[in-house]
Amino acid sequence: MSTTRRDFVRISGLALLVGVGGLTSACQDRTDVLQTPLAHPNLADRLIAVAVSLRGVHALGQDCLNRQSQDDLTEALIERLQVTRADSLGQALVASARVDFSTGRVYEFQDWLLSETECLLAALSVAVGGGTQEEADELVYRSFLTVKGWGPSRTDQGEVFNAQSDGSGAFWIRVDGEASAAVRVVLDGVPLATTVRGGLITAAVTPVDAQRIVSSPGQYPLELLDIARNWIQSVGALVVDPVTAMATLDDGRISTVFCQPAAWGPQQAVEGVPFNEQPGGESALWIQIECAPTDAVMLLSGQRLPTTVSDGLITALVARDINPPPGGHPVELISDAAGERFMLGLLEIRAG
Amino acid sequence: MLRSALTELLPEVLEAQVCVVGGGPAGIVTALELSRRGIEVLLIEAGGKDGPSAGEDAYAGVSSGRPYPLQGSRLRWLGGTSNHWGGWVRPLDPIDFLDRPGQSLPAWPIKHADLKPWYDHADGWCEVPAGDYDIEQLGLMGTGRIFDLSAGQEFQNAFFRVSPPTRFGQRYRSEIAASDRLDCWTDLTVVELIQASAVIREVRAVTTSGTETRVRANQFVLAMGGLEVPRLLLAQSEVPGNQAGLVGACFMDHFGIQPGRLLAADGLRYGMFDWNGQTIIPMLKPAEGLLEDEALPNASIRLAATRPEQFLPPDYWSNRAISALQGGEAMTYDVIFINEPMPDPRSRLTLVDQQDSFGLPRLQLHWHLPPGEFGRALRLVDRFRHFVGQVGLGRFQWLRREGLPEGQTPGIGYHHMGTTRMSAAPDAGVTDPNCRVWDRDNLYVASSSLFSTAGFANPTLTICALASRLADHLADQYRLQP
Ligand SMILES: Cc1cc2nc3c(=O)[nH]c(=O)nc-3n(C[C@H](O)[C@H](O)[C@H](O)COP(=O)(O)OP(=O)(O)OC[C@H]3O[C@@H](n4cnc5c(N)ncnc54)[C@H](O)[C@@H]3O)c2cc1C
Repeated sequence: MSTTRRDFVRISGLALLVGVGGLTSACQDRTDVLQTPLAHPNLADRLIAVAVSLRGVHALGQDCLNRQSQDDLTEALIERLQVTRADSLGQALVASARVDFSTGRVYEFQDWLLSETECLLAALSVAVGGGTQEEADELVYRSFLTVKGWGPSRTDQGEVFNAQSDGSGAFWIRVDGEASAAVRVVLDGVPLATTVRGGLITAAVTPVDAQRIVSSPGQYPLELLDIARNWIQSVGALVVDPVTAMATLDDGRISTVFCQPAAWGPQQAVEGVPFNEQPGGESALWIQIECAPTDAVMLLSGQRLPTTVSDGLITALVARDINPPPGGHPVELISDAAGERFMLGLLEIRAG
Repeated sequence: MLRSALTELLPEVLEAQVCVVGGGPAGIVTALELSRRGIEVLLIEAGGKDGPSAGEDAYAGVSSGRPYPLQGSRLRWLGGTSNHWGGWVRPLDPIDFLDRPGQSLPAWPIKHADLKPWYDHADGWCEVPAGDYDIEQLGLMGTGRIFDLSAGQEFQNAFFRVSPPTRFGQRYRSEIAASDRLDCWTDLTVVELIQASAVIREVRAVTTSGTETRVRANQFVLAMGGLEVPRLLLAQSEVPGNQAGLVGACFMDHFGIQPGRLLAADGLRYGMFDWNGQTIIPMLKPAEGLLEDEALPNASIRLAATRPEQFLPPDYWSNRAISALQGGEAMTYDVIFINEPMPDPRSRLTLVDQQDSFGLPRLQLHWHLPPGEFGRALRLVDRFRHFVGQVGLGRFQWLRREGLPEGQTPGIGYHHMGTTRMSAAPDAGVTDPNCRVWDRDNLYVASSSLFSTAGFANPTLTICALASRLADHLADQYRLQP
């Protein structure tokens, strides 16, 4: 930014003022500074100390500085403050701003209606190198509410959670104390229409968003965002469980006990070489499957194998003395209790 | 008794002392208040007990001026539009009943004090705690949730109460069904007033399947909502109450604008929350003195916490040298004004050639909300933005200084008011102060269509108060009979 001659005059004048006063000591205790009586001999220094300490005035101060016609901001301000007859500097500043509003001495900055007093003060602040303005854009992760409970936390694929009559989904979060009205619930990065009533926060997910989420299994982070302060805190995640299709049996029926296997293996081996070799020298076959009955048995070329059914996985051992010859060997699953049988595929044995 | 004209045998003639047409809040309150006083009442409701049956298309119509959702803004079954209302309740302010600068038509012929006992009664119908709407009594002052404002300042604190919300058709169904004085027929649409000079002799009512009946009564109360009451009147070959050409005229709805942002203390609650066992919505409004002196609309002003804007962050207002906030934090709020519209005969309902399936001509609503209306509202905003500065409450930023261009719809309340306005003399309205249609001896209205002016308060509490008052007035006539 270029400095105009007028700016230069003003700033250098101020620099001089700063030089003579007890700015450093005044800065150390802002409460004291605001309580400075208006008759104080170092009022100008105290005023500068206040200006230096201001927050969030940078943009305003720049604008005011460019528009000001006063050569000495401190003097112009003190003149206004004396008129208020307030007891202290702090009270006089606030009172002077109010008087400005009542007497039409107002000033517009970016469509904000402000008093001339605060404009002068902000200009002074920037002129003496104060007036910090933090970038408010950064989201800060911070636990600002104590969550006592929330829901729903799980749903099945395709199943809108807490479904409302219009197809939207809804969450509730209960927190300790009263939540700020600036709080929004965020699901998978999307802020939701949120209602805050005391310690109960509710939020609606539009039908379109709800469908998008429940159509893909996974975990969707749920967070609380304070839009006024840019604070965000994690609440948990909505889990969308996959709904696994049931397997199709060899006779074309849909299984009542076996889910559609997600994978199985190995599907190839070399003649005479144990595949997926186990500590006892046996080979082993495995199937990833979401659901299966405990009596499930795996078959290799029609021969029942010692089978273990565990959560999401079926394994079967192929004894060392079974040496399937080259060719394709059917791998099957059966449940005698359910009377069901189906083939997973062929284990291909290549010649050694 | 509660019967459906589609499933029960509909007599050719139905008779009672009073016939109430329309089973929304207005009709249900009128009918039950009458039956509780021992009067025999017929309540005729066009829709079903739990849904609109087949007649909802009757609400379709044409809108011009500002686009208006004629269908989406009302429901057609027992309980009427209360089947999806929001439940905000508040009486009109005393000043709303008075003539004010800038009004081209007279205000109400009754005063707030005339309605006060009925407002207390209406609180019960809407299931909110009884008591004055006096913010002082809430004990909110000094809690930091609302501004500490004192009497005499240009803007004041006030609040809405929030009904559960009462679904009138469900909430009062058992009493309707159990009453031996009240005969409620659903699925029956009144389509014609059979008149003989100054009286209504009977009304003709039909079902969606084409069955028809005549309803005879000593008095008829039209309670079909602020659009259907004038529609039925306009559809008659001799339009009752139209001596001043005001049937259907002066349509009003509360319109909302979001003109700006406010930087103020953190923690303000000018929105819905629970407080000491009741749900309330605090708000700000212009003081009566301001409205007495200037052509400004009454309005409610609410604040909703929002993202800080880049030029004047909340930090700015936490500087004690600027805001005098005693060490507190600040917050940016969106500012929402819900404004009182002015009665204007150019904003009106008429009928078009097309008919609905019951043979009633469809409605055309010309919603005339000219830039001047926005101008008044924006002048109030301007007063507010200076006020907050003068008293040191905060700083205001304009987001929108102009009214909405013609053809665009502002925020609306779905409140249909003014179309059969109440007046002190026949040349300024459709009904007299007792809700009777000026030129008919036995035709009455219970609806927000009676509102001479609109204030800013949502209308249902006033509708219920007027309906209770009307029932008492009608019952009086029976008490006086030998
Ligand atoms: C989304 C929404 C939110 C709202 N929120 C609020 C709120 O928070 N606070 C508030 O005060 N107000 C609110 N309102 C307005 C409120 O719903 C109405 O003021 C209230 O329902 C009006 O009551 P009424 O009985 O006059 O009319 P209605 O509720 O419209 O009832 C009229 C009844 O008459 C029947 N009818 C119509 N024509 C005929 C005929 N020819 N023959 C027989 N019967 C007929 C209809 O089927 C209906 O049941 C809201 C409205 C909407 C749409």
